[in-house]
Amino acid sequence: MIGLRDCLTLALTKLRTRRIRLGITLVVSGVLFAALVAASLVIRGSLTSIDNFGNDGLVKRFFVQIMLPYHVEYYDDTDYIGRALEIARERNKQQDAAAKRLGVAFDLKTAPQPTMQISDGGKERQQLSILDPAAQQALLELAPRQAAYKDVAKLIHGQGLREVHTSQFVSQNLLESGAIELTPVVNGAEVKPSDNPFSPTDKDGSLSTFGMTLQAYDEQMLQPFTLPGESLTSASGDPIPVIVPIDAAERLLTLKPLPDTASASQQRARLQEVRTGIRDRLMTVCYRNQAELDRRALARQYQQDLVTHKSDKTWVPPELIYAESRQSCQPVGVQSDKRNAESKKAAVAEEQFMREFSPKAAPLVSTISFRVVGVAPKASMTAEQPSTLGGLASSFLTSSLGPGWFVPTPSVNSQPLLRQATFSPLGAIMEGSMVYAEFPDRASQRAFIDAHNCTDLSSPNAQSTCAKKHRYVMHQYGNPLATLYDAAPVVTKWFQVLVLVVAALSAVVMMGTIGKIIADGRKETSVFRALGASRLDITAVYVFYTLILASLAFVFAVVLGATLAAYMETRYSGVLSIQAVMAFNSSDLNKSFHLVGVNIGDMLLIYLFVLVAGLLAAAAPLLLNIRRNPIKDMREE
Amino acid sequence: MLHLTPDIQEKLKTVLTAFDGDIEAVRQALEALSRERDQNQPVASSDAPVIVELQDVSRQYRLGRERVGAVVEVALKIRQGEIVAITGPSGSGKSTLLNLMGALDKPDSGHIAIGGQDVAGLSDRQLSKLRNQTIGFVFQFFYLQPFLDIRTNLAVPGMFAGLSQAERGRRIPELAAAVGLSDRLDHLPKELSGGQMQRAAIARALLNRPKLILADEPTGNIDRANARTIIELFKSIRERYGTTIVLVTHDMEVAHQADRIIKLRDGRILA
Repeated sequence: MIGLRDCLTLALTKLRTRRIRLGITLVVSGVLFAALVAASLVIRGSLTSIDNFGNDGLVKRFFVQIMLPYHVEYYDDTDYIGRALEIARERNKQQDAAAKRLGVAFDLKTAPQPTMQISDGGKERQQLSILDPAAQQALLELAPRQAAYKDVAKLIHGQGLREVHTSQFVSQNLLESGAIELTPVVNGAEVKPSDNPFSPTDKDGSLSTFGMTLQAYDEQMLQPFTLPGESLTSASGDPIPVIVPIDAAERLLTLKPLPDTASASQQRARLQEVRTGIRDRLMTVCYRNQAELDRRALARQYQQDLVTHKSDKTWVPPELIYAESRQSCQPVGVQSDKRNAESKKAAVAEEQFMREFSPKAAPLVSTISFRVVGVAPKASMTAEQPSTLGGLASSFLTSSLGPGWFVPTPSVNSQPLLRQATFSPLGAIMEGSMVYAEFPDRASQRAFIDAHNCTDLSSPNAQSTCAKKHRYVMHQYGNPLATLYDAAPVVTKWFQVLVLVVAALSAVVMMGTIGKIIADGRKETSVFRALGASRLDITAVYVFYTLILASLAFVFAVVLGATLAAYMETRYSGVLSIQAVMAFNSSDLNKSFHLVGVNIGDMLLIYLFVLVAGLLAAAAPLLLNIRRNPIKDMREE
Repeated sequence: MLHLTPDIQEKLKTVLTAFDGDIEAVRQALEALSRERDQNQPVASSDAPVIVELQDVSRQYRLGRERVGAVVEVALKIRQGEIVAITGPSGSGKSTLLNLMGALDKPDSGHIAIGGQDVAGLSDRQLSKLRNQTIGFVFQFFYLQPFLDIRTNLAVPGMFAGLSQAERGRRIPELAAAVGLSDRLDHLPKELSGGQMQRAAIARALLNRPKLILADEPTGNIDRANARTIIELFKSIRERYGTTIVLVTHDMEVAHQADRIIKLRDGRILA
């Protein structure tokens, strides 16, 4: 049997033939495998970098976000409907009596009803009208208070749970209790609010997101996102701690936003400037309730009518004219009141009637103070479309909290105006609220989800049906890469499929060259056979040649893949680093997010597949070659 | 140069002086003389061991739909130390016979023994070992490895034999000296002349010290002067190593340098 050294000597001579074809083969195979090498380097580098961010933000914490279901069946429950109608009848009786007492017009037929008629497949039926006070009272009386929350808490307390937290969109509750407005006041001027946080109406979208994206979280959830040394607790009457989006912070500090082309060092310097400058900055927000907003609407309508009817001499202005104050966050005042005494008396009576039966009917405008304790990534997402590779890569480096403004729940509850304004019957029975269960590790987090996730959401009332079986809609939460980790088995599977596809393609490419080299070597094989080479010797020489060829392809792939990964590192690492620092609220601004990480296992796997591809490519031509009659080949020569 | 015995020389002179224009008569007389000469060629030794023995060996090839007998019922013995030339017109079966002797091909019928060993029934590995250890091949087109220097080319049969580097280091300079290529060991084949390349190929064939050298048209691709040198080299190898040499040639001058000539026509040995 031929020795390794001699095998190498003879195999190397074959590399000197068909050089152009060999070069093309190496390049094509190398490029195919280089993509795999680059993918491995970048994925491993990213995962290592995430680990480097350690305990920043919620990177290493394992939450399950659980959505407490809306028990929509309550709204169809005949007991609830019956009770709501009973409350409404009693209310109407009182309203009728009060109307007679106060001399106010009141028609029972047009009075608000606690139920509404809905059509369900052509069949009419009654359902609770959730915005009606009688319906809300019926819910509060009959619906189990926090039933789902208690059930969830019971489930998770038996499973090594560390904490349970809740969160709510402040604006959601505000809407349930009637329209209100929360408008930031900057430099004495109110910032026009936005109806859609993703499509802001103010110039840069930084502050108008406040009202719609304000969310209340338990302090423990927010603490990782505060600036060093900042506290989320506040005494009653103190400004409410708030974590603001960085673009809003820039606006509050009257800093001009950085251009999209800003370098990583510019962004890092800006973050440093913002973190230093925004700490403990007070922000005033103007609160208006629905009644105040109605009056403001009248004042604005009058101003509009003035313009519209400028030359219309027949136009008769209203007797009572409201006017907005020139100062920010002031109540709408009366500009002129030409009503006669009887009208005024009727209005007073009407007002008293309303106040008796609808406590929130009185106009209210007031400022609420907030104190900045942290900086979050941008709340407005319009400028962050991942249109580039860097944008795409950075899209997973987002804060666990998501975009928005964040305040601690206890502070909201301690602020009388917000507490009153944000009270909702649904909130009281915890419908639709988010609950966060924190687990000590990923395994218990995963096990809890597997055991209690409500997966079949196709049927009507699915969430309620699930809840009866102690199952809820839930997701992992906290670690921004949890999804990536969860996808790891799938990614690994597809990576392996990709490796196989690349290996197969590469084998086809190499087969062309190796097959040609072996075919060219028929004469040589005959000579070697005449000189005493066995079939095994010939096979060994060609296998060695194939291994050398494949190894060269691998070396080329590593060089090319590493170059590609290094380019990505150079191009994106700086930007990703600053985005990660911001998203995870790292105190160390110089922490780096690297995109290159070497995993020997991956490299060996790729090398193995390169070799396998080469050997597959060589197998058929080699088998044909060694089975040939050497005499025939020599005779043909 | 022809080497004829005085008796044959005298008979040839008689035939040539008696030439009266009858060409056919002269041709028959010359053939008779040739046969007489061949029978009288000196062999190494009549009691030397038989190195190659063929018994009623036949080998057919398929040519389209027909089967053509390349070698037909050939029986011969070649003893150790002999130089035997196989001649015959193209297609007479010379190379096929050589390949059968070299265990590169298998007969359809008959038996072949090389070095006293019947090659029928030997495995690929055993046949390879036989070719490697007992036989040395020399080809018309040399078949040296173009990207290996002469030293490494000479080492190729040793690679398959598992010959140690040290042993190769001893044998190769000796063989190079024997074929007059001591100063060409570090050259590539393309830097050598045709004659030098054939001498290198002969040295390569000798590396494993085979008992038998089979040379297929060894002078077919070189000029006459070099051809003579090659034949002289074969003779000196026989003297030096006692090697048996069987060569296939078209060249009668070369053939007549052999101890014995075997003439083939249509796959059969002419009587």
